[in-house]
Amino acid sequence: MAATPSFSGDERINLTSAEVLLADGHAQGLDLLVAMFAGFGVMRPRCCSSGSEVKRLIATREFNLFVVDSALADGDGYEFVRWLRRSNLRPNSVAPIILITGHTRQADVLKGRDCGANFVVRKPASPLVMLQRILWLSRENRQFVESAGYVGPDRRFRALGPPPGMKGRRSDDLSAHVGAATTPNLEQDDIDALFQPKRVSL
Amino acid sequence: MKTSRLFKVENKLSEITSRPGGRRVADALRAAEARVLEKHGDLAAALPEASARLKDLLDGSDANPGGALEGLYTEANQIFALAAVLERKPLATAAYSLCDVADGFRESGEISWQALRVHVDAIRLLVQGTGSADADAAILEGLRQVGARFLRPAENVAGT
Repeated sequence: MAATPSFSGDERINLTSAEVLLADGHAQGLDLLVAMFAGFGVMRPRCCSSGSEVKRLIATREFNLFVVDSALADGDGYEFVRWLRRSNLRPNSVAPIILITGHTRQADVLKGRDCGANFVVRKPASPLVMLQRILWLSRENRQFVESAGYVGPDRRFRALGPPPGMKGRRSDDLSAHVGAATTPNLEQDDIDALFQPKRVSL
Repeated sequence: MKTSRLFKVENKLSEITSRPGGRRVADALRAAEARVLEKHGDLAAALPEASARLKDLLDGSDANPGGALEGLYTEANQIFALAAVLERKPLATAAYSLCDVADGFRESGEISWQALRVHVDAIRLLVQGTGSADADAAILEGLRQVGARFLRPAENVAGT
């Protein structure tokens, strides 16, 4: 869904107090996620095999991250994510969601994006890919969208405005057309002055 | 119609992950990889059972064809996930191919049980291990031909 974020091995990450919910319809898949997240420092994740278990848990607890497999014991993960996003159970309904898929057609990636997941990760979900996604989510500043057809993080990773030559559909979309300058260009000294530290009196 | 609304949400994950303490990213990654490696034995042990379930589903398909097809897809998906983690590429590819054909049959409504049986037999063989890369390649080529006969090109994102 997006380019691979970069991070340095010396960076620190503290997930010890993160409330993480892991959901997978298969016992081995869930075991694997628990092991991986224990390595990341998440010692007591909440684990569920079905959407109905997750629904019970989120009614009483707040989570900071959901990791949901597309195959849950009682239905598909896409539908669960769609339900969660529209549930209005704040803050859980706006929490980051990583959706994991096995057999993945292009349509499934689009379905994952359109159900409101922040990321779709195809199996095998390696620790490297999972950690990259978590770090990305921890720096995420995408806005949230609520509309009739979609609820979830803004599906545009970068807001570049409407395509050239097209009028934007949003009231705050700016035109891609750059007009002529209306004031004189700054002299280089003026530009340099903007970077000079100056004493201010408060 | 509901009005569209764009708004900021508090990134609690960011606040939590940046608290003092925790571990270096490189250490977290190493620890996670080591813990996943410890699980490999359990994952490998689950493969024979999963492949036996494929055969049971196929054998019982007369009674409930739709349920059997759905079950085959689900089990094949699980075998793909296990084999991919274990880096057993031929097995992962065969399981993925079964997912492809089962999914294609689900959509078209026309099921070739023979094509499914070829896949199940191939997966059971690969779970046991052929011991030969050439034999693995020949099995996968056979499955590729079966898949090509029933699937539209570029049906999926990618195999393994």
